[in-house]
Amino acid sequence: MGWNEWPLMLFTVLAQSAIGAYWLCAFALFTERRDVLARRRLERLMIVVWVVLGAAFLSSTAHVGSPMRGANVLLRVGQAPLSNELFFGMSFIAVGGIAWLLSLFADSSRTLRNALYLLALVLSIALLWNMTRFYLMPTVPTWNTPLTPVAFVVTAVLGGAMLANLLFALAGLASRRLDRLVAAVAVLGLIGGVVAAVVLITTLPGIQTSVHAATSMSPDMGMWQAARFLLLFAAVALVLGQVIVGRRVLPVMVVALLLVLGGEIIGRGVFYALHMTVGLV
Amino acid sequence: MTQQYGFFIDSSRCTGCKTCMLACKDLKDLPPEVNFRRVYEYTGGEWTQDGDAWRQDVFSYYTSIACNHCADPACTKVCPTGAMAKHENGFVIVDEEVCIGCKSCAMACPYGAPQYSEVKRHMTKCDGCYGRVAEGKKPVCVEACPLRALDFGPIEELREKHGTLAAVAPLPEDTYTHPSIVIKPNPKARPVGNHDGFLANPREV
Repeated sequence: MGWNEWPLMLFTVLAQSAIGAYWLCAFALFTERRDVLARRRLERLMIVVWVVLGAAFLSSTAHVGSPMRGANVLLRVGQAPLSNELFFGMSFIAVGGIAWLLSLFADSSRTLRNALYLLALVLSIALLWNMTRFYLMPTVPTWNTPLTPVAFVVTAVLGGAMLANLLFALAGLASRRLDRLVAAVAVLGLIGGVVAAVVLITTLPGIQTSVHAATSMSPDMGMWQAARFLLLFAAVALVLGQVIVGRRVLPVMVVALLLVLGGEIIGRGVFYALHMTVGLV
Repeated sequence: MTQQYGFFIDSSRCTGCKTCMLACKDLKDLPPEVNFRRVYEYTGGEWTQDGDAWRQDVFSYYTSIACNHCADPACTKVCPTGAMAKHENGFVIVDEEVCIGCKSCAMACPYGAPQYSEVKRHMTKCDGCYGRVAEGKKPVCVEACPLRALDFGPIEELREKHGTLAAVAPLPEDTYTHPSIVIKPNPKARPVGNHDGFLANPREV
C-alpha cells in the first residue's frame, strides 16, 4: 500500500468528492426552481464544498518538501499539469467562494450568481482533467492507462453523491427527483468502480520490466479491493435504502459519506502503491 | 543549446566496485539515502543437471547510471516550477532555489536520477559536474573509475567512437527520453525488457 503518499490520497479523494458534489449542487440549483428558500439554503451550505476543497489542497502541502515556496508552482501554468491543477483549483475555490459570499446577501443578483456557477462548472472540469493528466506519464505504465481518469471520475461521482446528498438534506430540499438522482449516480459510480477494478486486476500481469512486476507492487491488492468494495457497497446500500423507505436520516447519510471516503482512500492507496516506471524505479 | 554532453558506460569493463558512486557522494556531500550515481547489478541464470554433470549459465553485469541528461527528459515536463530544466551543454539541472520538492520529477524519471533530500527539503540530482566540465575537467565519477569504464564528452563524439547503443536490461527503452549515453554492453548483456535476470542489489540503488 502507498500509505506514505497519504497527503496525496487525501488530496485527490477529497478534491474529487468536492468536485462531484459541486456538479450535483449546481444541477440542483439550476433545476430546482419551486422551493426558493431551500435553494438559497443550499447555496449557503455550499461553503462545505469549498472547505472540503481547501482542506484537500491543505493536505497536499504535506506531500511537498518546501510548501513555503508553493507559489512557484504557478510558474508553469499552461505547460505542466501540476501548475494547471493549482491554478484551476484556486480559481474554482475563488469563483465558488465569491458566489457563496453573494448568496449571503438577500438582494444579490441571481443572474450574476448563476454566471459564477457556470464558470465554476467549467473550472471544476479543468481541475479534474489536469489532476488526471498529471498521472498520465508515459514513463509510468501503471498510471498511464484509461483506468486513471475512470478511477478519478468514480471518486468524484461516488464521493460527490454522498456529500451532495448530505447538503440537500441539510438544506431541506425535499425532492424525490434529487433523491433518485443521487441514488442513480451512486449506483453508476459503484458499477464503474467495480468494472475498473476488474480491468485493473486482469491487466496488471501484462505490465513488467526487468526490475519490477506490476503485480508485486501491491501484493495485497485482492484484500484491499475487497475491503474497499465492502465499504462502497455498504454506503450505496444505505443511500438506496433511504430512497426506498422515502425517509432521510442524517446520521445514516454521514455514515454513507464516511464509508465512501474510506473506501476511495483505500483505492487511492492501491493506486499510489502501483507506481513504477518503465525502467529502474 | 550549444552542444549535448553525455556519458560513455563500458559495461564490459565495469566490475561493480562503486568507486564512481562514492567519489560523487564525497564531492557532492550526499546523505546516505541519496546517490547521484548508482551501479545496477543485473543477475540471472541457473545450474541445470545434465546426467552426472551440472552446467550453469549464470551471469551478472553492472550498469553505472547517474543522470543521462536526456535529449527529451521526462523530469522537466512534469516539473511545475521549471526548477528542473535543460541548460547549456544539455545538462539537466535542478534549481535548488526554486524547487518546492513535489517529487513529480522522481515519479516520472525511469532512471531514478532526481532524488529528494530530506535535509534540503527539495530535489537534488547529478548536474554533470558542469563546473568541472567548464574548467576542462571530467565529472568526478569518470575520473575516479579505476577500470576506465566511464567516459564523458560531447555525445556526438562518444557515438562516433563507441556506437549508439543506449539501452540494455535493466534500463528502459531509450525511446522514452532519448538519454545522452552510449553503452558498450557486457558480453553477457541482455536486451531491454529481458526477464532472465533480476536486480540483485535493490537496496544499494
